[in-house]
Amino acid sequence: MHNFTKSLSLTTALLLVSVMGFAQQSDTSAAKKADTTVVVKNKIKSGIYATGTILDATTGKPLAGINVSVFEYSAAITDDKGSFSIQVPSYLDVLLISAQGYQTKEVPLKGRKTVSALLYEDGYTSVYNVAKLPFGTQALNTVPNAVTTINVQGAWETNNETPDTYLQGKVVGLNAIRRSGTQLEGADLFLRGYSSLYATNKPLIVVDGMIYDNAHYGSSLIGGHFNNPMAHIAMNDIDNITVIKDGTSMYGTKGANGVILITTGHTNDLATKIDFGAYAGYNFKPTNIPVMQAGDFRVYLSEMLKSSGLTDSQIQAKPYMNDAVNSGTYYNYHNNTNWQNQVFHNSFNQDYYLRVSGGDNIAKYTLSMGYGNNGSVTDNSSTVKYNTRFNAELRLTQKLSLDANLSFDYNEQNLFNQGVSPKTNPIYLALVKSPLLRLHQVNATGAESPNLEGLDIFAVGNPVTIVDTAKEVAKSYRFAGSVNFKYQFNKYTSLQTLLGVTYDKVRESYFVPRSGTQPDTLGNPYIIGNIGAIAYSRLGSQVQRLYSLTEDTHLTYDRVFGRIHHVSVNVGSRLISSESQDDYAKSYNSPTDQFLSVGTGNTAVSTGGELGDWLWWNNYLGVNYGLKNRYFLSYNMAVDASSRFGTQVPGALSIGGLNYAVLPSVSAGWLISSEPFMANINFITLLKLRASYGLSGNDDIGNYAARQYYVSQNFLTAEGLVRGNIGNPALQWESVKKADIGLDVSLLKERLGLSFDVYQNTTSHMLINEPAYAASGFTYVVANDGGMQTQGIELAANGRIINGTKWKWDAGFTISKYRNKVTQIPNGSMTTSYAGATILTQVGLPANLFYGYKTNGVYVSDDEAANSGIKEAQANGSLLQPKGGDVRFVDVNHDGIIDSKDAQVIGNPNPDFTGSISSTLAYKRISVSALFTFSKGNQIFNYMRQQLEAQSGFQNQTLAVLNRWRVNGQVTDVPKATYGDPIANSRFSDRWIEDGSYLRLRTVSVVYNVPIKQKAFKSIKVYATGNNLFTLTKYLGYDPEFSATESVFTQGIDTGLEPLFKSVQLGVRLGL
Amino acid sequence: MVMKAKSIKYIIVLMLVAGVFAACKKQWDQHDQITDPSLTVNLLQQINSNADLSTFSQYLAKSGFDKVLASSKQFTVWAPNNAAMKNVDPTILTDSARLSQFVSNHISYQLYTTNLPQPTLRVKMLNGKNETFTKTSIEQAGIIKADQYASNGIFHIIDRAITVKLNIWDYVTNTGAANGKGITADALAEQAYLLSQNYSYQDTSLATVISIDPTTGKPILKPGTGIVNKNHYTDNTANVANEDNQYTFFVLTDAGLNTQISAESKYFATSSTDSTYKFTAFNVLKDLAVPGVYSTKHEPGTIAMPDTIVSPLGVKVPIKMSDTLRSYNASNGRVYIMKAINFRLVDKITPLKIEGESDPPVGTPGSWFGRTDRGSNTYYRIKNDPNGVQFKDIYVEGNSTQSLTALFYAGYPIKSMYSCTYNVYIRAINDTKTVYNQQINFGAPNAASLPYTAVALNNYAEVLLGTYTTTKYGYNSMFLVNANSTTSGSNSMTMDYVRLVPILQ
Repeated sequence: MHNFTKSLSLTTALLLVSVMGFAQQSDTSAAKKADTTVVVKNKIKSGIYATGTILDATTGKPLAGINVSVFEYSAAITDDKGSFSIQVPSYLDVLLISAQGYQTKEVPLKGRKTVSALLYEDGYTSVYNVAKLPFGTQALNTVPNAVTTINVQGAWETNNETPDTYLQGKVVGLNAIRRSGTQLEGADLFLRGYSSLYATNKPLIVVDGMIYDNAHYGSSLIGGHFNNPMAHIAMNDIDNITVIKDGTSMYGTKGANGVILITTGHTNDLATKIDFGAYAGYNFKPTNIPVMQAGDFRVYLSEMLKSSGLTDSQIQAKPYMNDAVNSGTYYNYHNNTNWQNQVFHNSFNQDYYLRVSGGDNIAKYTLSMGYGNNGSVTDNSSTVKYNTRFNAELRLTQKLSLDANLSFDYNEQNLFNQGVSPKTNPIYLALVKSPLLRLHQVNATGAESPNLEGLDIFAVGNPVTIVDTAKEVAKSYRFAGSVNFKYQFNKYTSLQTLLGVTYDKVRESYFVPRSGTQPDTLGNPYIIGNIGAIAYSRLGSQVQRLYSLTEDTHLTYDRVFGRIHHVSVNVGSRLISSESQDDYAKSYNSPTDQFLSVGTGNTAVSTGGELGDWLWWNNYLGVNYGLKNRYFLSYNMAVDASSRFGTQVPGALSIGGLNYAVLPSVSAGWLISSEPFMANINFITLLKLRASYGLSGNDDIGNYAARQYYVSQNFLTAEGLVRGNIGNPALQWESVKKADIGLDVSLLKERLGLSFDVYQNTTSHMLINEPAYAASGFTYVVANDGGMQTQGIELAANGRIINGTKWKWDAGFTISKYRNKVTQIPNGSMTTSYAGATILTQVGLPANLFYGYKTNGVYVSDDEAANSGIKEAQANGSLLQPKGGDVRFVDVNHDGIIDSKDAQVIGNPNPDFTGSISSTLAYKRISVSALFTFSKGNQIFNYMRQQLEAQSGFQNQTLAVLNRWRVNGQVTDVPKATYGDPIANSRFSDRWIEDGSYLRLRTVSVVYNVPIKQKAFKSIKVYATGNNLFTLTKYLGYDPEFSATESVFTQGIDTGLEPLFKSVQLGVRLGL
Repeated sequence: MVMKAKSIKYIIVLMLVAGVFAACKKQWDQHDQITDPSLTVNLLQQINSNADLSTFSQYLAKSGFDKVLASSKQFTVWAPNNAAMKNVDPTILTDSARLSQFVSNHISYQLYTTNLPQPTLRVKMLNGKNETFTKTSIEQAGIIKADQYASNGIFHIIDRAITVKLNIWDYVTNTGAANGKGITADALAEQAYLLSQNYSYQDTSLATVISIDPTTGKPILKPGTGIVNKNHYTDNTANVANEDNQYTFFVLTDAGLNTQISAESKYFATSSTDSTYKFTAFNVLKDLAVPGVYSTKHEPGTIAMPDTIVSPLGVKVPIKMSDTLRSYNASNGRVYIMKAINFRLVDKITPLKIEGESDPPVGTPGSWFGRTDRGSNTYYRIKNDPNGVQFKDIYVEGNSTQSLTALFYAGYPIKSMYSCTYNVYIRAINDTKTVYNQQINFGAPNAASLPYTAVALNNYAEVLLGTYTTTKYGYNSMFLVNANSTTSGSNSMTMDYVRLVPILQ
């Protein structure tokens, strides 16, 4: 509980402590001793009194025993009728109202002598919720920044989440895109769009005051896999998540994308408390993509074979065309196998979690342990996770206290290649593998062997062999621990020092069997030394390591002068020293498929990796000033130095040869509703106007890009060193100017809350791979020559629709929109490519547009194609005449030739808006919560469908190809089947761009709080939760939500990752 | 009111769930929906639903091809309309074997749309016959309605049924008993000759292996299995039984054949009349099977008939179309029954040429030389003559390491030699500084068939050595012999080639 470092005052702090104490107790039915000690300094100078009544917002009945106080002045308690009378310094002061089991609330008198207030139950989403900010806790109504706080409380009702996926739909403006259905894979977090092309767009993660390194070091050997550091924070451990969207300057060059502060479990309860949760879940395999069955496929195949140049008799000689039962191969090729059913399976989850907390006045502890074994929808893939956490708070002396937060977490994932791995991705193979083929080997008489079939006649591997035999395992652990010493000099001043260490290791072993897998041909002869070697089995091993030390010392001064001026100052210095290492070895062709380790590979053993070593020094200052509890001003500043910055950064502050990033920001808040002139406007409970403007930075510019370095290079078996880059000594952080104007409103006696924000983030000195002269031997040099701007609006609303004693219905709605625009890049325009897509980045447009050909159906006949006057340019410059059945590409420049000049913007992966709808309906002891998330107007490049409708080979295709063009005069929008697709009908075009809008029932959970009769348990809760139960979308893929990589350039490209799936779970939580 | 809210909520959720499950399917259904009604049915259904094809469709069912057209392969059907079916010989339709042949004569695998022929295309039908397909016709039938498609193929409606044709071989060897086709009385000699060339053998790769001989390791084959029937005539000329190539085949009437045989038989003198006849007949008939369809009628896919065709063996075949008695359109080409084809003797009895550098095709290497140890004396040269034209020859000389024996020779087998007198020409290039003598002998190295001749220096022309007569057709041998001397330089020998020109009578 080191968050007490900065406190409004001791009183407030203690009040908050009590509130949080209640928050934790709220899950138990046993009443706790109320920790309601209120330290009151009575400085009664005048004899004026304010009176009023406190009522229960639900029942409307008066509440007795409610604390009413004036900060550092007076206190009172309501009587049986809910009324109170309190001495106040003036009628412009603020009453603070709090009680166990109810929300804490501020009521400004605004000149009134009598006020009444309604109190909602504890946990009610309101403007008085407490955010856990970097320097302590603060009620949202006094925060001048755009902040969202989520009182997670362990999220017991859901356990299949990592913190990043959990945030989906919870925070307005935070677009969390789950990467895939694979367990622990997490989500890409884009807070208010994005600010960078090549540097990170992830918000900074801070766990219990320590910056949590959320980057990944080295790419996985396993295709499409991502070692997600966020998976090392157990969801059940989390008490609170607070997201700060602007004014994050105190985090200097790491604050550009906002900050997510995660607080894990702490207790204020001295009694020993044990919570145990057990969950069982069931995962439903995804709905199959409708691909052709044997009959249709064979007809399609005939056409494809014919266009590959075979004669009729050669085609009829193929074993799958020979329908004679005694042909010897009849049973091998006359099947109708649904390969998706062979690869996808329903599976089970089990999870257990135990938390023990307790202590005494000197030491309090929270200890948790968890274990999970989760299945996935791809057969034989699973995840095992173990987590432990130990949080302790020790009062060593009257003035010195120590907080310790230690966690160790271990995950083991059995995975398979996903994404663009056409030879080894079992999902892809299941889609394209011919249904004519059989899973198991079979003899001439149809007797089946238990052995699996190998590589088939079309050179497509057997996905089941891969699923059964491949071993692609990622084991990772992270130790993250910190101790925070705090010395309280006096009531106003304290000094604290945090020492933290992060040790993270990922070990991957990779084995793809020889049998049933299409071999690879190894490429680069200079590197490997084997020209054209064939790789049958593929083996690999990798270790990624991160070691990071954090030291963070800051001095806090916090005082209220004359109950009017509230000043708090935090000044500190933070040093993070990290080193990373990534080593991998790859080899091929182990003697048999029983040899799985990389050392047994016979061909082309190669090793490689990366080293990183960096230091970040962040000096920060935070000044908050509050006037009369109505006007709030906040100034934040960081002065950062980093080993990543160049030595000659133009215009930068330079001290002693070091370049510093100076990043200030200022925020202001005006609590209009507390003004006396608002006294009589009763339907407005709270109205706050916020504005902020400032700078923050992004230091994800590469550890060594500012320097010049050499890399080792093997050339014809001789080892040497070559230049690795063009060092850029002027390289600096990206700097992001953030401006935000927001309005927080609470209406109708707090039954409706609204929050509205308009913002603009302007990136300058944006990192760009600037094209280099060919003579340099490099294709690019890293430079700060770019710029972009993101503007957006956000609206969050929540309210209590039904507020009865038995029935309660809370609903929430968030919607946000951003618009991105590149303002500066070298040459004004550039393209990148991924999975066959071309992505345009151009000044004046969003950073990542799909750039390809527009189509207009299919030529009906040869004559029509000939009369169109259109020719198709080939890669070698030659022109091809399209014929009937070829795609009619749009000739934009009317030169009669379809070539790269005819490419245009065909799609935008950025959504028009995203958001969520939440609803909680409670009836007595049962509550039903539902969360819907939606994304509208984002476009998807359906790479998988491009593969499944390319009609260029012997792969199975979707049923849409049954509409393919066959004869002159046939009107259809599906082109003809041609082997190899020489005229590139399947090129990247608007045929594959789809609307990715969706509305999803993200989670629905039912909680039943079982009434307890015997004393063995303090509480029993039963949970039933469903995830992703339905999704409304027009998207033609397994699922419209995925993310191939974190890069801006790969957003909206569906490469065929394991899809998100439906799951249900039942859980029980026992409180002892 | 509260209960009502709850119910509404449940109803909303249920409706959403129901709507979404429907929608989940719908998005794909919409995308995959077959918009074209023709593609929702298979070819059989498509044909059956066409009223103008009801007769054909009835015979599809009768012949069992209805199941074929409903299967998951691709087909093109050239379907005769009802009017066309009326003209079909009813005996075909009642004989199940012939009906099957007839129906399958209208069906091919794969898609043959009318844009494919450029301008013609040979399409193989299910019965193995190839047919000529143009943009508007198939064989003699015109296409009334083209490119009608279904899920597993297309069909064209044609105005005439396509009769099943014999191929050239079946036609010319058909005794004529069946359905009046084939060569009738006037060309029986040729037919008899062709049939006499049949043979059969056991193909080890096709036969059933009973066991392996323990001593030789060779397989022991089951008698009567793997028997392959072949014909010497088609082996050596063109396989006119092959359905996949097209030929024009000229059949000579008995009279025409006899005229040719009597003109050529003296060059094929053997010990028996029978074998002489066969050799002569082959020599006459070998040039009568030519690839490609020659026709005077400019039908699609045919070559205009010239007055002379050069056969694949390089012999000019003079065609007088007025001598045509009749012709037959076979499935793999055209047969013309000719009263006569008057070959020029000079085209049929052709000179032989023996190249000096040719290796003897038989015998132990070296055994065709006077000694087997004189390889270092023997040079196979590739040189240019003064005109820059390249020649290859043999040159044998005694050199400083090894001398050449006297009467050293190089021998050449001659596979078949007409029985007649030849003018013997040699081209021998002596580019040394010494004139040497050498001799050409036939049958044996010392046969003294021709006298020793001096090989003049740098003479690149042919030299007439004299004449040589052989009385029997068939195998012979020739020898180049050096001077009876052991003096290096004087006992060299050389030969670019020897040309044997028959003296025709």
